[in-house]
Order: sequence, then C-alpha cells, then structure tokens
Amino acid sequence: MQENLAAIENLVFHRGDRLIFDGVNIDIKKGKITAIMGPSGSGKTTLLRLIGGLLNPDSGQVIVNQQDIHRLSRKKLHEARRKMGLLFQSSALFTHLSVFDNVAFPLRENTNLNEAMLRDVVLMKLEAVGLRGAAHLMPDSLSGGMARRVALARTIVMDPELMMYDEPFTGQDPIAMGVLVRLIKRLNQLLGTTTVIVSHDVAETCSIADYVYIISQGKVIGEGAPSELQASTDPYVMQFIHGQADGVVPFHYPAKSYKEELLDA
Amino acid sequence: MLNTLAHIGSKSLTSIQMVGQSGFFLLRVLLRKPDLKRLWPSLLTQLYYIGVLSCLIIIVSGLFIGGVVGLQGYNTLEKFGAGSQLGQLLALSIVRELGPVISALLFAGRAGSALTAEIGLMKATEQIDSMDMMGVDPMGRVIYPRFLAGIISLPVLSLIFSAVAIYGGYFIGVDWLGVDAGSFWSNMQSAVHFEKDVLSGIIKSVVFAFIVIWISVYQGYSCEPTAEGISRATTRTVVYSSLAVLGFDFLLTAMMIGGW
Repeated sequence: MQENLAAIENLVFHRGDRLIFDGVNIDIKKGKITAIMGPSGSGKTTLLRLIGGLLNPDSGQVIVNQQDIHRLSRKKLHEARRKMGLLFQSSALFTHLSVFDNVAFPLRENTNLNEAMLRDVVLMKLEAVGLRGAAHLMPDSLSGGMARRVALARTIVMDPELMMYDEPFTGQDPIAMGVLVRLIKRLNQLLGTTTVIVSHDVAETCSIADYVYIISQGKVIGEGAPSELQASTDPYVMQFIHGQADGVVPFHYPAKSYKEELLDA
Repeated sequence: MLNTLAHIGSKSLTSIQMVGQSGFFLLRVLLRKPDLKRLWPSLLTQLYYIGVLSCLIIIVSGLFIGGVVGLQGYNTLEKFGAGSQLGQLLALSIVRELGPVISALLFAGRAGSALTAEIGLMKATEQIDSMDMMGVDPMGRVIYPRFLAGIISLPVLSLIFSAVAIYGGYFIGVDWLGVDAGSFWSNMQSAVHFEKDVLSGIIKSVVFAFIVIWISVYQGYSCEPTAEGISRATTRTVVYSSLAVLGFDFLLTAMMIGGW
C-alpha cells in the first residue's frame, strides 16, 4: 500500500458559528497528485491552511511527515513548513520586493547560499514559469496571472516535499494554463514532490491528478481516481463533475424562500 | 437595562482579552533571540522609514512650538520684569515636557499609523501568512525590526525636537523681542540640569517610544484583514497611543517630581 505523506483524520472545524468541516478524512499519498475539489465556499482553501498549520482545528488531526502539525512548537512548525510550499490564491507577493527578490526571499532567509548560486537558482525557477525576463519588475507592474506564476516560482524555490496549490489555474490565459498544468505534473514526476491541488477547474485538475476528493457541506462527498469519478453515477459527484446547477449540492446559499423574501420587503 | 449591562460586560471582556493578547504579543517580541546578520539590513531600512522620514514634521513642529512658547513666555515674564529668564522657561518646559510629549504624539500620527496600516495590509494580502508558510517567523522579520527602529527613533527625534524648539524660541526671544543673547543662554545653562531635566526627558521619550510602537505593531498584526479593519486599527493606534502618552506623562512627571 502506498505510504501517506500527509493525512487528515476526523477533522472538525468551525468558522464562527458555521461548520466548515464535519469529520473529514483525507489521505495524501507520497509522490502523487491529490486534488481537492468542491464548490466555492466549501472550505478548500481553509483545508490547505489547516494542513499548513495556519489555522487550528476544533478536533481531529493533521499529520504531515508523521508529525501532528497542530501539536508542534512554533520552532518545530517552522522547520516542518520549510518542507512545504503553499501557493496562495492571492499570490501574496511582497510588494516592496522585486520579482527576483521575492523568489530569492525564502533562500535568503532559510539557507546560506552565496549570491552567485542564489541568482542561478532564482533564474532557473523564473525560467520554469516563463518570467526570467521579468526578474527586475515590481509586483505592482505584473498582471494577476504573472503574479501567480512568480508566486509559484517562489513556492518551488526551496524544492518542498509537499506542494499545495490554491486555485493555481485561476486568471491564467490558455497558454500559461497549459504550461502550468505541465509544470505541476513535471515537478511532481521529476522531484517526486507530493502535490495537493485545490481547484474547481475540473478538466485541468483531473488531467493531472492521481486521486480526487470532492468536498461539499463539510464532508467528503466523493473520492477516487479521475476516471472513476467521471464514470460515477453518484448524484453528488455527477453534479459537480458535469457542472450541473440543479442537483443535490445546493447552488444557493441557505436562505428563506425567494417568494417569502420578496413579499417581506 | 440588562442588555446595556450585557453590552458593557461584553465590551469589558473584549478589552481585557485585548490587553492580555497584546501582553503575550509583547513577550513574543521581547523574548526572541535576534539574528543580527538578517536583522541589521531590515533595521536600517526601518530606521529610515520610521525615523529619518519623521524628521521633517518634527523639525517644523519644533520650530513653531518653540516660537509660540517663546512669544507667550516673554509676554508673561515681561509683566514681572523677568524677560531675561526666557531661556530658562523655554528650556525647562521643552526639555522636560513638550519635547517628549509632542514628539510622541507626532510620532504616533506619522509613523505609528503608517506602521499599523502597513502591517495590516501585509496581513490582508496574505504576505504575513506566506512568510509564515516559508518557515520565516513574521515576528522576527516584520515586527522585531520595526519595534527596535521605533524605540531607537523616538528618543532621537525628541532630542531633535527639543533642540530645534529652543532655537525657535531663541529666534523669537532674542532676534525679534530683544532679549539679551548672553542672558538667554547663561540663564538656561544655570537652570537646566542634565540628570534632573534632560535625562528625565530622555527617559520619558524612551517610555513613550515603547508604548507607541507596541500599540502600533500590535494593532496592525491583530487587525481584521479588511479595508475597514485596517482603517479601524489605524484610528485605534493614534487614539490609544495619544491617550497612553498623555497618561504616562502624568504618571512619570509625578514620579520624577516626587523623586521616584
């Protein structure tokens, strides 16, 4: 049986009064690409933040590399995070640093590489995302898609064991999207990086994922290899994979009836 | 009535919780072991943004306030035929009180609010979280250099303010109103004692720097990461810092006059 690099066990998490996860179990196999998909607001980003230890669960545990992330001291947690990479949805580039310095930042802070070697590594990563020529630019002069690719270069610069992508395909043009899909797959194959992709881009994600979890309303509503999910007759899975508005997963946020609301006014 | 009581209770609990959290935050800042190699460049940058860029407002304000104190002081002293004592009045009021207090209030408005907004915006744009995810403690990389830069900058700014304000008073008193320059400086020299007056002013400005910078970085770090949250945190920084500076000034003055 394939070894897990990370595992989420009986995870329960509330945001205020709202229940986000209600006993979620997810296994992330070493060296594989695991996709977490689900409708907007289903807690996909929150799940990545819980894996990274940026949020604490109400109960349950997140095990990464045989360590319970939420029981680590601050120092140990930072050590564990140096082996993880999280590509934020907002890119989260440092606005006071150039593209080059943004990508160089984790190396400068966490290693003792000399400037010549650091330059080579940074340019190599920027080349991989097609932005070596933009190394001197400041983040405010980048488009959303370019900023995402710089953030990706920064996230992979430390060659993390566990790579987490939060909506990596949002805002990308078709060319960049194709390059990104291939890059994620190549990083996974060449470096043996364990990958978690959170996305609702079904086609792109299923094209590279080894295993897919679909979450909705606080639970895992479907799981399996992409081909299994495509062929699934489960109404929850079918609705999401085929993008149907009407079905068991509600399109509308819980509310009183439309008629009642209009008549109340 | 019960609702009002519940509201007061809830607000009080929130305030107590905030004081506790800011205390733990301060401990995390103070108890850290600095990495001097990485701290030094950030500290220099922050000294520039927090200290050097605050110089202009401090110098201009010092000049005007010194001038006003000189004008008011001379008119009052002259009624008793003591216009030549202007240097003494000016130096004591500025070095002991106005220098540290007004510098701290200006510092809170100029540098403190900017720090809160900067850190709040870094939080809202997930820069703090991304740093944390890289295994880099934001406490050491973002908060600590700003904290140290604030504690170093304000006492120096306060001394600059006092020196400029005394010259402002000198221009008004000596060059405009005709007080004798020799008596202006000699009265000041004989009346102002380093330990009792100058040092007490420096001690005050160090305490004010600590309070203002603590409030500023804490408000930024703990603010709600939205435009409204940052705006509220920035306002809180200025209001809390100003009130704390004035309150601690009274406390410190009472302690200093009472011989500690």
